[in-house]
Amino acid sequence: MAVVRKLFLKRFRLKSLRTKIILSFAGLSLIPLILLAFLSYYTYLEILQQNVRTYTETVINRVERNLQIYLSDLERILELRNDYYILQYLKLSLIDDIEGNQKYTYRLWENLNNIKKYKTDLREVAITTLKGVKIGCYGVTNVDLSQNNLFQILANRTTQDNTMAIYGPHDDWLGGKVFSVGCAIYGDYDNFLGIMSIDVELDLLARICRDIRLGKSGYVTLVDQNGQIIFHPQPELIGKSVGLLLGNPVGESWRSGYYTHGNRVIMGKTLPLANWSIIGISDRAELIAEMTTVARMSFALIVGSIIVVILVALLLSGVLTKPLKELQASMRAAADNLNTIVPVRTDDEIGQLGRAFNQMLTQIRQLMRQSVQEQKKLRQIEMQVLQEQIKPHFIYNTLEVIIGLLETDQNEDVIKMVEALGAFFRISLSQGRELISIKEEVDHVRNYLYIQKLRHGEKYDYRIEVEDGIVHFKTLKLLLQPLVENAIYHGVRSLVSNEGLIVVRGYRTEETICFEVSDNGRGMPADLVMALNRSLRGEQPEDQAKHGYGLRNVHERIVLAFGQEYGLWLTSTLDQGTRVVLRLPMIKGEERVERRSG
Amino acid sequence: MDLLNRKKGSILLLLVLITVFPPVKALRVGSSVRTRPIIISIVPKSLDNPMLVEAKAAAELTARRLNVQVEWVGPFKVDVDTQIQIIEGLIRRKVDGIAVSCSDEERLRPVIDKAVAAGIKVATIGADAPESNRLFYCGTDNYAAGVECGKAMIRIVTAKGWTDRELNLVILTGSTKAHDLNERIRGFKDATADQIKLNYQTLLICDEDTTTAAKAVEAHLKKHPETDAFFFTGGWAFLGPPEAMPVYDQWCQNGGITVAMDTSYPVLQAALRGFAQALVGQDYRKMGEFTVSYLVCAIKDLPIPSEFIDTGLELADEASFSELLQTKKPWDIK
Repeated sequence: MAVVRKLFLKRFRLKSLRTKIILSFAGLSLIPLILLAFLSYYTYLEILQQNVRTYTETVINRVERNLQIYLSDLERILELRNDYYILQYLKLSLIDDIEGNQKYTYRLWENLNNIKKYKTDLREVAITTLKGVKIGCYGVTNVDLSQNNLFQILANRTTQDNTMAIYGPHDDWLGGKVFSVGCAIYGDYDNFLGIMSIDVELDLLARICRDIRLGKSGYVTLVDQNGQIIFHPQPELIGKSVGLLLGNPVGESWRSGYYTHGNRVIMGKTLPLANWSIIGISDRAELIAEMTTVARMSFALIVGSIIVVILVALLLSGVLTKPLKELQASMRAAADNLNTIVPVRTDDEIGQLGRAFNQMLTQIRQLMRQSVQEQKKLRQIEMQVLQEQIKPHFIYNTLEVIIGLLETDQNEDVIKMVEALGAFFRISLSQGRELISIKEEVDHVRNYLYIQKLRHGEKYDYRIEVEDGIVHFKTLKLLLQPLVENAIYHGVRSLVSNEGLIVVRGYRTEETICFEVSDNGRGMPADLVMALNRSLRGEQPEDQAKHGYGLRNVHERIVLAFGQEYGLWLTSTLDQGTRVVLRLPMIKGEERVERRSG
Repeated sequence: MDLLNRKKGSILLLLVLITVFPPVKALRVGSSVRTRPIIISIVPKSLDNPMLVEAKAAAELTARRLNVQVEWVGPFKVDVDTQIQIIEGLIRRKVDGIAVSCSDEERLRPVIDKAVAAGIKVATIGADAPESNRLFYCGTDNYAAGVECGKAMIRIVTAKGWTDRELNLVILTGSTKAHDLNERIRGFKDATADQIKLNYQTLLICDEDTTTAAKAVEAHLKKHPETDAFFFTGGWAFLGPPEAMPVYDQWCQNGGITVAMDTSYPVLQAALRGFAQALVGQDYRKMGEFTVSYLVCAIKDLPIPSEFIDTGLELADEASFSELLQTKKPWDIK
């Protein structure tokens, strides 16, 4: 497990560009997907509910229409109640004319049976007289009118209200479940003669409603005006209160409208002709189950999409980061080997970056080469400087002076001379350090001038004016000594008078340390000054420069160490003197001398 | 005939007694238990047989006279299942008496016995179920009627001089399950056996339906014009318009012989047209009257004279058709 985790972490570092791309892809895809899923879910739920409602409404309307058509048919059949034979039969029955009624009896049987045959759901079509004689499809029977509800309903109506009445469901005398419809029959003087009734098999309602399904388990039920179930897919519920289905107490709201009760979605509609209610009952759980399926599908879609997105992100991030990784690997390799070349395969930003990196490497290599050469040159110059410092002639002469002083017993001067010479050599070597403090550099020049002054006597004098504020700054060693040496040998030593003066000044201007080495010696013609300055700036080839070897060395060392903005500037007037200005950066502490600029 | 007259006399005397002196026990029962009048339900084989209309009228008149209610309930067409269903309904309604005309004695026997077991007085009318527990049968002696038909056939064949010939005879009957019709066939066959040579070609069944009967006869004659004679166990074929049987009409004119049961008005009219040479009739009025009367007796625990209440026979031939028609009331039911 730990190995897998390690492998995973190694492959997918959280802060890596690839991980970020994957997460960005996943995030960008996930948010709209989830929003889409939620939106789809609720939109689908709403549409589903609306569809269920519309479908239920359509189904109930269809049931209503079927029942309405059927009842209208029955109403039309009942129009036959004013048939001549029926009226004659009723009239003769009133006067008990048995013989006279034979003809009408047989005719009515035939007619009523023809009606029954016409509609197979009819169980009985009958005429009931005021005397309780009922003639129908099965002959003639006697009925107790007080127990005949339909008869009582119609007998209590007026001629103005001569519409069809419905009663039932109830059992007919043959043991069948029926509901009855009927109309009153009136005589010539609007006198009530009896009723015409039709018994319809209750199975008719089942035939209309039974096969109607609202969803998998939803159904349609019919309820009469008293709240008794007259049709239900479960026959044992017929005759029971609708409260069994809708819960008690039952108001009247279920008769119309759309609402939910517990886990049921209920829609009711009243059939005006019969005052029955058609109730559509659907199972809400089915709706929810369907929605669960949708939700599962949405979830699966989201998960699937995320997986696909991650795979695509992996692929894309791999494609996108591969050049970067190569670049990164190349950069790492470049740390060890500057000859590394980043392969550039594309022309996009990464390709451009690779190209830039390659250019940078080329420049670095070039700079490195240049730096190596410069360092090499710097060392050569330093060696030359040192060699210059420790010229055998300088040592021989100095030693000659010391011997002379010893011979003349100027012991004090000998001591000073030897001390100055020792300090001179010590600072020259400086334990191999490149940088020394300005104080040491100034002391070095002072020792040098002291030694030379002792050698040359009163030919010239010297003055050293260095600001105290700059002595702790660092400088390349042995910069001033060649300038002072030039001022002595090319300036003041050849003067006829003994009024030669060499001034060494050190001061600070803004961020620069300046040294001036000036003399009032022979000076130089302007063309020579210009040639020397051009030689110092590198504007004149080195092999053509016949003069200023020491100056050039000093200048090159400064430029190599600190850049082109530093170095020497020479001014001179023939027979008046020469002034050399040396500009250095302000260097604190033990900073290593490096080339600052090219 | 004397026996018949004596029977008639004793029945009438009994009816007078019932009317004038209702049995004390019956009154007591009626006053203590009954809250409605006595109901007697007559269940014919079908309602569409107009011959029974006479029986219905007689039954209703008798009921009115005896102050009871009579019902006439049955299937419109012959249908034993509906008959059974109706009797079941009557049992549930707890009527006092039931008279059944059995279209299928085997099928009806259990429900008759069930009604009897329920305390209902049950009789059979016109068509018996002798194996059942019914109280009595009121109607024609159907075997005797068949014998009379057979005798009439012999007479006609003899008169035509066809006794030596083997005659192709077809029987038209309402059902093979009805006891009355089967008895008539049995009587006919017994009577003609060894008397004339009859080749029973086929048995046509019409479900006691007038239209079916006429169509069956017509179809048979078209296919078998060699037919010599018909025996109709009922008059169904003659209850419709004679114009509906042109082939039969022509066959009759060509000398065909027909002996039929029933002497009702339309049957006699058809016979006069030449559609039959001999008729044996039943007395439907007596059937209705006696059935109601004796069921009332039974309900009132009065004795029933016999298990078989014979309503007698009426014989007619070409010589008496016209005279007999005068005694009949014309039907006006169509």
